[in-house]
This record gives sequence, structure tokens and C-alpha cells, in this order.
Amino acid sequence: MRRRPDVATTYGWLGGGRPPTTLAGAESVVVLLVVGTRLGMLVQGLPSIVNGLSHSPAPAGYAASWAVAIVAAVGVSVGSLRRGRPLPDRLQALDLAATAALLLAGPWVVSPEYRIGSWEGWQPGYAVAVALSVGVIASTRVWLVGLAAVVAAQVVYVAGAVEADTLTTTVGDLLTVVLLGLVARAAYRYLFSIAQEADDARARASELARLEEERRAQLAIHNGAALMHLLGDPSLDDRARDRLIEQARHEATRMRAYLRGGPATPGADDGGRPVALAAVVRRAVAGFDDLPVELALDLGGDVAVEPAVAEAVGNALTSLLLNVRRHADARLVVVHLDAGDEQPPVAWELVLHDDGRGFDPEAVEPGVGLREVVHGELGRHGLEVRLTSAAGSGTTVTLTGPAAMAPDEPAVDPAPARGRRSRR
Amino acid sequence: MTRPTAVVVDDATAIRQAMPVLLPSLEVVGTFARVETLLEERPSASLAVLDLHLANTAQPTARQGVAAVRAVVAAGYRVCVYSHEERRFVLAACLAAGATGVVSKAESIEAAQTRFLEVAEGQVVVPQPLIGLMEVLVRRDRLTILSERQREVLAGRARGLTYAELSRTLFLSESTLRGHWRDLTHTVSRYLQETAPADIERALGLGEGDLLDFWPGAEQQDADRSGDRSASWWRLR
Repeated sequence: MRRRPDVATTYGWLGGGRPPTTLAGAESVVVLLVVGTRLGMLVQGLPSIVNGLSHSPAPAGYAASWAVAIVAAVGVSVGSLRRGRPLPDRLQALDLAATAALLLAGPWVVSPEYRIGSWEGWQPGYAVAVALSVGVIASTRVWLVGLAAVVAAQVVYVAGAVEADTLTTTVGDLLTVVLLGLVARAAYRYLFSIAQEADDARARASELARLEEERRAQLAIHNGAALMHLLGDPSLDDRARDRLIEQARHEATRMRAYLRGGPATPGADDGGRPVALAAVVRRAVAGFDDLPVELALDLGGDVAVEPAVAEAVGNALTSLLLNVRRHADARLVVVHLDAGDEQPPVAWELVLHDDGRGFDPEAVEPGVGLREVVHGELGRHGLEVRLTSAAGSGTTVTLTGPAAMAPDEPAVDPAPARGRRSRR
Repeated sequence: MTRPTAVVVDDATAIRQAMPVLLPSLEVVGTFARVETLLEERPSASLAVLDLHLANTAQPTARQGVAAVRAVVAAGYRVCVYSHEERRFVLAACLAAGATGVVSKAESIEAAQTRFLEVAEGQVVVPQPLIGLMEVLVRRDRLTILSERQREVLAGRARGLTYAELSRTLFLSESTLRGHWRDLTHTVSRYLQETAPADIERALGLGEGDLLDFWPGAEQQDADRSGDRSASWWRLR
């Protein structure tokens, strides 16, 4: 159920500016149109009351009819204004019923010569105003039946008064009620649908922004969380613990950068110069010398990538190696970089293979690391990720992507790799 | 079934005493602390398991490194280097000096025994760091005599893929793949033995003379220049 907004909030835009492009804003605009139509009709008709009373065959009934019309118009206006949106369907139906009743009572209170083409016979004009205002009824069925009842009542109203010279006016009045009713309803519904779509679009944008922030947070903290988990393992030897602590310091720096709103990897946007991919790989692997990693980077020594891609690849490789450390129990891990035979390189392939336990990718739900840090983030940078694994047969992850344009200046090394057991 | 015979050369007493027990698939017919003793006794064996680092305070002049490999190969043994050494140019130099296989002491004893048996059968056993080096030589057109299939197998092995994984992607049986691998490792081994270090330096993008400290032949030149034979028996740096 929608909460009732206060009047100042709903019509605050009248003080300057324009109505908000929301459903609530559209409804407030329509309410003002309804109020203007209904009260405008009263303003037009009231000057003819005295004359109408004097020529009415039933002055008391004439006055009572006006009283009902005024109460209905003012009631609809005030009620709508207070709500900030149209009245509920049941009150709108009551309004239509009252309009039909006023038209049906017309032959009793308005003499035939005043019923067509004069404000002494105000009921057809009142019917037009009502037809314009009830276009906001939510139920098409209620609206259709109500409008048909009003038109039928208007036919009854004019039946005893129509003559040859007033026939066209009479038909015109009836068509006015029908056509204005249709046009008003179509216009209101279109306006509401646009406003609703705008609201939906805002909601989607808001949800997407939330998901993006959630993704960034996952990227920033996933590897750190995995490291903390590993550090909690009491069976860790001192060497592995030292390495984990070193990596944890690096991840803590990344998390602080994220919290400050900067790039997750400090220096990742430094100058925007292409980064040597082999250096990115060495740096990511440097923290895993407790694993039996063999680096084979000779065939990709010349390839460089954009800084954002370098950051994504480094994070993905770290996440994958954390998985190897946690789950694989591997005897050999090979990290192989190949930039093809073209000079300068136009593409590259990075393979991470372990001969550990492996798993069935169809049966295992990927964790945040594999889903977001590897597939998600690399996919957003246009890189392809292929993972093949089988229980007992190790795991192979292949990353492929385009090389950065050949830089005028040499590609930068993002950071020197930390001390690493010599394998070369 | 007859077990292959082997001799073990290692300066570590514990390893010499443990190997006969830890390698039940091999018949260890002799263990030696230094190559010189092996060459004096020359027991018959189908395999020599050879450590690279043999000099220590008890035997400071012991022949070791690439020179030791060459000496044992020259004596007619099929040599499998068994060492902690991880520098790939040193390991490549061992193959260039005639070793048939190189096995890391970091391997499990079961895996090491399997490798020793392969070497005893005449297969060239290449550790993972050298497979990457082999791929570089092939990709830089220094080894042009490999078939397309051999190149594909080499590319897969350089990425760490097992025969089972390669079998699924190349649609070949594992035995066929092993055959390709056996052929190409022999080719690479011959290439390393027959090629001048300067050519290999160029292929790998190394500076001139970078391999001389490791490569067989270089140590003799050093010795000739210095006149000190013991100083240039090995250059492992």
C-alpha cells in the first residue's frame, strides 16, 4: 500500500521548476487537471443559477441538483488534492452515478427550452467535466460502464427537448462526452505508463548500482578473505605463514584503496601506460612459493596489456592460485604465457594448470572468486576464460585476450616481484 | 622379472644408504660418494643416478656438475641426474653433456623411481622447466625437424597438460602421445648435444657468453687458460 505523501511534498514543484518525472509526479499533475476541470465547470455554470432557478419548473429540485453537483465537484477536488493522486475507483464510480442521476433528474428541474445549448441547463456541461475527470479510473470496466451510463442518462435528458434545429448540437454534446472521455483516459494512461517506466528504470539503475558496488566489494575483499581463512589453518608451516602474511598485507592495501574509492590496486591507473603481462604474472605468483609453481613466460615476454586488464589478470591469477593452495593438493602447477609468433604481439594466452584433485565443473557451484574475480571481472574486460577440470585429473584455466597497442615507451613493470625461490 | 641395475653417486651418506631400500624396482649394485671412485671400479649397471653437487669439505676436489655428467657418460653409463638444482640452463647443460634424464630431488620417491626406470629403458626424461625451454627453441625455429604432432604434444606438455588431457584434445591414444614425446625428446637431446652454446644463446635471446658458465666444453677452455684444473671442473655458480 502506498504511503500517503504530504501536500507540500506532492505539489512542492509548483513553487518553481517542473513536476518530477515519476508516477507520483504524473498523478499530481493529473489531479490538478481534474481539479481545474471540475471547479472550472462550476465557475462557468454558477452565474446562470439565478436565471435557471427562475425558469425551472421545480426550483427546489434545481437548487438541490446544483448542490449535489457542487458537493461532488468540490469533494472530488479536495479529496484528490489531499491524496495527491486520483480518488479510488469506488468513489469515482459514485461520482459517475451521481452525474447520471443529475442528468436523469434534468427533465424534472430544467424546462425543455433550456436543456440544450444553455448554462441554465448545465447538466451536459457537467457531464463533460466528469467525463474528463473519470479517465483516471483504474478499472476499464468501471470506467466504461460509468461513462455509458452517463451518456445514456444524457440521452434521456435531451430526449424531450431535442428538435430539428438542436439535433446537431445534441449529437455534438453526446459525442463530446464520449470523445473527451476516451481521449482523456488514453492521455492519462499514456502519461502514467511513461512515468511508471521511468520509475522502473530508476529502480533498475539503482539495483544495478547496488550490484556493481557489491561486485566491487567482492573483488576488493575476496582474496583477502581467502587469505584470512588460510591464515587460520593451524597446520600451516612457518614459511607458508610468512608468505600468507606478506600477501595479506598487499590485500589490505587493496582493501584500503577500495574504501577510499580509488582503484583497488594502487598504481593501477598510474599513467595509463601498458603493463608487461609477464611482470604481472611474476608478481601474482611471487606470493605462492609454497606451491610447486613452474613459470614458463618466455613466449610472452614482449606482450603488454592495458593497466586495468593487468589488474584484473593479477587478481584473477591470485584468486586461482589461492584455490590451488586450498583445494588442489597439487604436485605441479604450471603457469604458461604465450603471445604467439607475431611481432609486436596482438594477443596472448595465459594457462594455469595444476595436477591436483580437480573437480566436476558441472557439479560444483563456483565460488565468489571463480565467478566474480575470474569469470566476471575478466569478462568485463573482454577476456575469455576457459576452465577444464575433472575429478582426479587436475584443473586447467586458460585466459586469452588482446595485447595492448605497442607503446612508444616500454611497458611498465607494475611492481618488482618479491623475493622468490630461484626456479630459473 | 629382472630388475634394472643402477649405481648411485651422491655425496650424502644418508642418500647412498637409503637408495637401495627406497628404490625396490632397481637393483642398486653400487653407491659412490664421488665420480672418481665410480670410474675406478666401473661396475656394470644400466643406469647411473648422479647428483650434481658432489664437492664438500670431506672431498673438496670431487668432480661435479656438468663435468661429472660428461665423465660418467664417457665411461658408458646411461646417466640420470638426480639433484636439487633448478636452474634450467644448468639442467639443459646436463642433457647437452649426455645425460639421458634429469629428475628433481623434490619429486616424490615413487615418481623419482618411475623416472629412473624410464631412463634405464633409454627414454629421455625432461623436467618441466626444460620442457618450457624446449618449446622456446622450437617456436623460435631452432628445432625445425619436429612433426606437427610433436609440436602439439610439446605445446601441451609445456602447459603442464598430462597425456590423459592431451589425449582428449588431440584425439590420440596416450601410447601414441608417449611415442611422439619419446621421439621429440631424443631429437631435442641430440640438438642440445650437437649445437654450439652460442646458437642456443641466440635462440633464447641471451647475451653472448651467458651459457658458457654452464655449458659442456666451456670448463675445459677455462682450465686451459688458468692452468688450474680443479677450479674449472664445474661451473654451477
